[in-house]
Amino acid sequence: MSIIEVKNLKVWYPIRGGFFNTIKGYVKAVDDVNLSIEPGETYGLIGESGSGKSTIGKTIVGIERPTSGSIIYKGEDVTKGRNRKKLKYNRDVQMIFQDSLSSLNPRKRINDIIAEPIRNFEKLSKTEENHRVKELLDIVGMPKGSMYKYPFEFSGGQRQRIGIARAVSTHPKLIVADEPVSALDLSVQAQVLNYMQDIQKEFNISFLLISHDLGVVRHMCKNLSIMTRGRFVEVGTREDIYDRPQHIYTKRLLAAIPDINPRNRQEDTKERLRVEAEYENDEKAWYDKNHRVLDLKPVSGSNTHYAAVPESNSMVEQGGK
Amino acid sequence: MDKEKDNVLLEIEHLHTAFRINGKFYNAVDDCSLTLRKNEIYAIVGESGCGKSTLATSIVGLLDPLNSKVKGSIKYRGQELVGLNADEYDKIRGEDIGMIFQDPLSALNPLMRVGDQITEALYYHTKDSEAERKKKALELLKRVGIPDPEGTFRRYPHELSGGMRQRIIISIAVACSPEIIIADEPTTALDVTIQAQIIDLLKDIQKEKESGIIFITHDLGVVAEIADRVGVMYAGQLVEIGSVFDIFEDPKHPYTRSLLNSIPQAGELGDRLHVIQGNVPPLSEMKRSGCRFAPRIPWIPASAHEENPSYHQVGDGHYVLCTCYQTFHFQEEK
Amino acid sequence: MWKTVLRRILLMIPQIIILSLLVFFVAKLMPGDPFSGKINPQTDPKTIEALKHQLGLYDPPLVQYGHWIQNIFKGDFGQSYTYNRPVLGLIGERAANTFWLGLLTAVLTYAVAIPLGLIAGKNEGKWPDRVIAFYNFVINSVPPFAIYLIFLILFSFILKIFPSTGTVSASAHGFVQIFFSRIYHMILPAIAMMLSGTTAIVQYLRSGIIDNTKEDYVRTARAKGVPEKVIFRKHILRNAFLPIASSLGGTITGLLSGAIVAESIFSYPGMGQLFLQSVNSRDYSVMITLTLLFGILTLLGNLLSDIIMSIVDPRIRIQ
Ligand SMILES: Nc1ncnc2c1ncn2[C@@H]1O[C@H](COP(=O)(O)OP(=O)(O)O)[C@@H](O)[C@H]1O
Ligand SMILES: Nc1ncnc2c1ncn2[C@@H]1O[C@H](COP(=O)(O)OP(=O)(O)O)[C@@H](O)[C@H]1O
Ligand code: SF4
Ligand SMILES: [Mg+2]
Ligand SMILES: [Mg+2]
Repeated sequence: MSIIEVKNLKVWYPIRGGFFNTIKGYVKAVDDVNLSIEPGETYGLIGESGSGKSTIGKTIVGIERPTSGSIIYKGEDVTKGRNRKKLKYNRDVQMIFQDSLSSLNPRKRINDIIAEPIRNFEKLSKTEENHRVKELLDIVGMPKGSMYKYPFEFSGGQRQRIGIARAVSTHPKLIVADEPVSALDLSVQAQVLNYMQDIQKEFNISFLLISHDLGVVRHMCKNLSIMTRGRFVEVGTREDIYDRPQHIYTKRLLAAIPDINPRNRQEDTKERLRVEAEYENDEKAWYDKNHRVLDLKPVSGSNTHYAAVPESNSMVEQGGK
Repeated sequence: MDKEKDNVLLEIEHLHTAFRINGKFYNAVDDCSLTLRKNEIYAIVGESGCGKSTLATSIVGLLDPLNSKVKGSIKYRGQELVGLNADEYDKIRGEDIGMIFQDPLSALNPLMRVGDQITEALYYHTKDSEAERKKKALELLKRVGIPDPEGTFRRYPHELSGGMRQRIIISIAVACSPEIIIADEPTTALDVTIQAQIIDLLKDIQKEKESGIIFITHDLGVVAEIADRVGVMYAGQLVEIGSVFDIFEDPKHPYTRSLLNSIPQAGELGDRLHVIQGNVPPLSEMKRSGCRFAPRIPWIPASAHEENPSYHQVGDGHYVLCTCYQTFHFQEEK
Repeated sequence: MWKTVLRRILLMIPQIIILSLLVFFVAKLMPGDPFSGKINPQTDPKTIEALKHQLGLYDPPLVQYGHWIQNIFKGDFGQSYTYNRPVLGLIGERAANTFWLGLLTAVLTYAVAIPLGLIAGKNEGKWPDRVIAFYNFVINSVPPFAIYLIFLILFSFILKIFPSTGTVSASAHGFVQIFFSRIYHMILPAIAMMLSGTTAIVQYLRSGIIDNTKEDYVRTARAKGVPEKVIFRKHILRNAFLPIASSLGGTITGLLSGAIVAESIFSYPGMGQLFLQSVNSRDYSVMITLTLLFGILTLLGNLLSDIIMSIVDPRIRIQ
C-alpha cells in the first residue's frame, strides 16, 4: 500500500489580461500528473527549472491548492481541508526547502525553529521539548550548543540539516524535499544526503525528492519520474530511466550530464549533439500540437516503465536506443 | 623559447589577496602561482569559500581597494597588473580580458536593453560608429546562439531566460575578442542542458579566438568536460595542479581525492556517500601555518603531516602541495 | 498601457462611491451640528428647527445622501455654513493656494534632498555622510508639527522675517510684486514642510547608491572597461532613483496631510486649514467635499506612482 497517491493532479495558474482583467489563459504548472510513493521509499522527481516540480511538492503538503485531481492519504482525499485535519495530515507530511536561509525564520533561535512543529501538534513540557530538540539535533549531527544560535550563524549545509531536524520533529510519514542539496557543495551535499538516508532507515520515512540533479536522484531513488512542461515524460525505476531511456527529453537530459572521465569528452559531446539534433528535428513528434507532452504509455516488456512516446513509435521497446 | 613566451598569456606569481575583516587583513588567496597559455582552458576547482572568486576578481582588479590588498605579481603578456589604477585597468578590462559571472540575471543592468549593454563594451574599446557597433552586437548575438538577434537586441534582461542571459553575458565578455576570458562559475545557476550548451559555446569560442580561459567551478564533472589544466584550490592555496588527466586519473592531494570521492556514483542504491568532515574555515579562523587541510582528515596522525607543506613535483606539470600524499588513506581504508 | 490606465481610472469609480458613502455617514455620526454654539442663544429655537428642516437635516440619511450626490452631478457641492458661500468656489480658491504651496514645497524638497542623498551615498561613512545622517536624525526626531511651531515662533514672531498669516500682502501690485509677495508668504511653511519631507528621500537615495554600487551589474560594467564616472551616471544613479520615482505619487498624500497641520499653524488659507476649520465647526458640505477630494487625490497619486514606475522600470507593468 502506498503512503500517498497523487491522482490526475492539475494546478493551473490563471493568466489575466485585457481591459477587464479577465482570464486569458492558464499556466499549466502541473497538468494531469499521477504518482504514488511507497512507505520508506525515496521517490525522485526530476525536471528542469519551471517544469512544475515545486508546484507538485507544494500541492502535496497543502501550500498550494489543486485545480483538480486528488491526493489520497490513508484512503481519503486530503485536498479537502476537513480530511487533512482528521488524519493529522499536516503533522504527518513535512517539507524541506532549497533555500535554507530564507525558509528558516532569521529572528528565531534554532530550538524555537525546530520545536515549532512540535508545539503545533503536541503538548510537551519545556524540559521534554528541550530534550527532543537535542535528540533531533543529534540525529542530524549538530552539536547541542546550536540550540541557542540563529540561522545565519550556520553554513548552508548545517542549515539544511536544521531544516531536516525540524521536518522530522513531528515523526512525519512523508517529507517533501524540494532541491534540498542543490545549493550545497559536493562534500556537504554528501553529508546531507547521508543524513536523509539515516533518518529514513530509523523512522521509516518516505521522501519525495525533488531535484534537477540526475546524479543525486540516481543515488537516492529506486523509482522516479522525469517532468517537463507540467507533465511526466517518463516514469520508471532507476534502471528503466538511466539505462533504457525512451523519451527524447530524458535522453537529452542524460546526455547533458557531464561525465567525470575526461577521456570520454569527445564522444560525450558528439552523442550530446546527436541527441540535441534529434530533439530539434523531431521535437514535434514528441509533443501534441499544443506543445503538450503526450500521454504516458507502458513500455513493452516492463511493468514499471512508462513513457510519453508517440503512438506510432517503433522505439517503444525495451532496450531500444 | 620565444614561441613559448608568445604562448603565455597570464603569469600569476605568489599572489596574495587579503580582505579587511574587523580591521585586520586576512589572506583569502594565499600565495597562488599559475600560468595561463594560449588555447588553454585552466579550471580552478574547490568548495565554496576556498578563494576562487577572489582569485578571479584579483586578476581583473575588481576588488574594493579600501578593504582589500593585493600582493605579488599578475602579468598579462609581460605587463604587470598589480597596482594599476582604475583608468589603466579600464583599458585592459573588456578589451584584453573578458569576464563572465555566475548569476546571469543580477549581472545585467535591469533598466538597460541588452543590446545597449553589449554595444557599451564596444564603445570604450573601438572607434566604431554607432551603426557598426550595432552590427557587431547583432553578429555577437547570433554567434552565441540567440535565435532572434534583432528582437533580442531590444529586449530587457528580465524578458530572457537564464540560458539566454548567460549568452548575453558571454557576448559582452567576448565583444572585443579578448585574449583571456575569466569565467566564474558560469554554469552553476543553469539547468544541465543549458550548462552543456554554454560549455560547448565557450569551447568553440576559445578555439575560434585561440584565447585562454580561466574557468572557475565547484563541479568536477564540468572540469572533466572542459579543462585542459586544473588547479585544485583549498583555503586560498592551489593544493594540486596538473593536467585534467593527472587530476582525474592520478590525484595526489588528499583534498583532490576527497572531492572526487564524494561524487554520487552510479553504484548501489543507498550506498553511503563519502563525506569530507568539517568545512572550509572562514578567513579569520583559518590556520596559517602547517597544512590547512589536516583538520579535515583527523585520522591521519600529526606525525605524518609536514610542518609547512611545499610543492612537490609528481609528474610533468603535476604539482602537489603536500608530502603525506604517499601514505594518505581514507578513514574506511586502512 | 493607456488602456490599463483607463481601466484603473474606471476601477476608481466604485472606490470613490464607497469612499463617498463612508465619508457622508461618518460625518453624520459626528456629534453636534452646524448650529451648536454658533447661533446667538437669543435666537428662537423654533427658527433654528425651521432652518434645520429647510436644510434637510431631518430627512432619512439615505435620502440626504441621494440629494447630495444628485447635487454634485449638477455641480453643486452645497453651501458652506460658516462662510455662507458655495463650497465649490470656496474650495477652488483654497485649493489654488494649497496647490502653489504644495508645488513650492515639492520643488524645494527635491532640490534639497537629491543633492544631500547624492553626497551621502557617494561618501558613505565619511564626514559629509555623517553630517547628513545627523541632519536626518535631528529632523526625524522632531515631529513635523513641532518643526512648524518652531519655525513660526522663531522666524515670524521673534525674528519677524516672514509673515505669520495670509497669501499675499495687500500692498502688492502688478504681476511681479504679487508673485514675489505670494512666494514670500509661502516660503516659511514650505521650508518647514520641506524639512520633514527630505529625510525619506535622502535615505532612499543614499542607500540606493550604496546598494547599487555593490550590484553585480556594476561589476559587469567595470569588467567591460566602462569608466567609473560613466558607471555612476548610467548604471548606479538610474537604479538608485527607482524608489524615489515610485514614491513620487505618494508625495501628494504626504503633502496634503502635511498641509492640514502646516496651514493651520501658519494661518495659510489653503485646503488644509479649511478642512480643520470645517471639522471644528461641523461645516458638513465643506468637510465632506474636502475628504472626498483628498481621497480622490490619493487614488490618483497611487495611479501616478504606478504609471511612473512602469515608465522608468521595464520590469514593472502596470496592472
Ligand atoms: N503562483 C504562481 N502564479 C503563476 N505561475 C506560477 C506560480 N507558481 C509557479 N508558477 C509557474 O508554474 C511553473 C512551474 O513552476 P515550479 O513548480 O516552481 O517549477 P520548478 O520547481 O520545476 O522549477 C513555472 O512556469 C512557474 O512560472
Ligand atoms: N569582500 C570580502 N570581504 C571579506 N571577506 C571576503 C570578501 N570576499 C570574499 N571573502 C571571503 O574570502 C573567502 C574566499 O571567498 P571566495 O573567493 O568568494 O570563495 P569561492 O569563490 O571559492 O567560493 C571566503 O571565506 C569569503 O568569506
Ligand atoms: S601531507 Fe601534509 S600537506 Fe598533505 S594533507 Fe597531510 S598534512 Fe596536509
Ligand atoms: Mg522549484
Ligand atoms: Mg565564488
